[in-house]
Amino acid sequence: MPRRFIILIIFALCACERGPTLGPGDDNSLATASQADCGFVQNSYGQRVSWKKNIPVTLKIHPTFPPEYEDTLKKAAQHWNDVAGMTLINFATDSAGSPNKAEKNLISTVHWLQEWPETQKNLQALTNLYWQGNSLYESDVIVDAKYFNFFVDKPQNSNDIHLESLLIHELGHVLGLKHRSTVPSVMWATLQGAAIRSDLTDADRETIKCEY
Amino acid sequence: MKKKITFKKPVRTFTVILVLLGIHFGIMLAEKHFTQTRKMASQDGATEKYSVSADKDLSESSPEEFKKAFKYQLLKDAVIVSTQGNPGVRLGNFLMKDSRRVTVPVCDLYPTIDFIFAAEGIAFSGEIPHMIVRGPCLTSPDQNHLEALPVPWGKILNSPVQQFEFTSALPYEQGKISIYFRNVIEFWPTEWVLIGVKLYGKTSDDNLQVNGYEVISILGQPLYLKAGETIE
Repeated sequence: MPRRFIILIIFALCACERGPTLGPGDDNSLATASQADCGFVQNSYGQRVSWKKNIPVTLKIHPTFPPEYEDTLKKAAQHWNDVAGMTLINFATDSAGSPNKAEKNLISTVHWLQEWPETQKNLQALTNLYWQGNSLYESDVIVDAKYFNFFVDKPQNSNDIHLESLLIHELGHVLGLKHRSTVPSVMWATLQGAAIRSDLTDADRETIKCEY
Repeated sequence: MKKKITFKKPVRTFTVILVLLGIHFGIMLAEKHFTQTRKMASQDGATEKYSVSADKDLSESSPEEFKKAFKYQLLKDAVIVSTQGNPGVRLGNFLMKDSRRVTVPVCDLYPTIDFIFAAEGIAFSGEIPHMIVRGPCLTSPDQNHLEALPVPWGKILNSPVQQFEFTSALPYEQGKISIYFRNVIEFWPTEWVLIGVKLYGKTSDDNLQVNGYEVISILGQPLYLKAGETIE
């Protein structure tokens, strides 16, 4: 009896050691992705990466982020929270005196950068995403305030970027979303100057429900 | 009355050892039988010997069998090896028939190979960095493998991330390697996973491909390549 019990435990442990199950193959391929992408970044097994149980994700706002734009940031997060019917993203103030750059340090942050590499001056913002297995553990947002001007209500000129639209997009990345190109979405890769794209679409709603 | 045969403990242990040794030798003999090397006659009558195990000879496979069989042969022994201190992926060789019905190594028909990698656990604005290592398809001297294309990490990591193309010469004037990066923005990722292999034929529509899920399905796990990794 104890021997059977030990064998069962060994089998259970072996089962735990196995990686995720891949999708089935077909006439031409041996295997496919573990899951449909559903608009999310996928790991090497084809699993969607998201925050799983670690919701809500707390983003620390770096002191350099302009206080007058904090409401816009929170409003951008609220779009995602409303669609999910739960708090996906909340914010805290970063008062630890940390450097104003997106460091991989297990703390998710939002930065407003006045210094930006000239070679990347076409980027309005950037979100770094880190995961282990299929669970996200850190995300850092940096906004390019060197090469872009932003507006909340009305643009001063045609190149100004609608900050809420931009932040909705970046917070989509924080949640694990990738760029979309075939459906109307706030996750389109480019946001033109003066354009407003602050309404989440049906595709965005369906996407977020795949994981949250 | 029949006397009951009883083994004393050391005798029983010895018997078990003998049985296990018997099984071991049985397996060895079977393996030798099934993996013996073949000699293949070329069309012009000259005998060319390819010292590969029988399972690597796909020259008689039907098109249907070949679709998946080549993936197993390419990947089943895939491993990271070090060439001049730089890591690369070594794959398995296999034999095919060319248009003249001559049996040749895969590299004779597909002279260029791509190793496609994705950064592990990192995305920049939702896009995972990719690296393509492109070079000549070279059969190893033992004829059982395709030579690895080493990634010159020392050179790459000391370059700005905006540089998306690198070249490197293979030893013994075997050609050059080109390395292309996509979606690298903030820093150089140092851990990469093999997500594809593509062999290019002599015409643009002729290629053989394996994707990352197939790599995992054959190896049982992803194949990781780490920058600066020292391999024995």
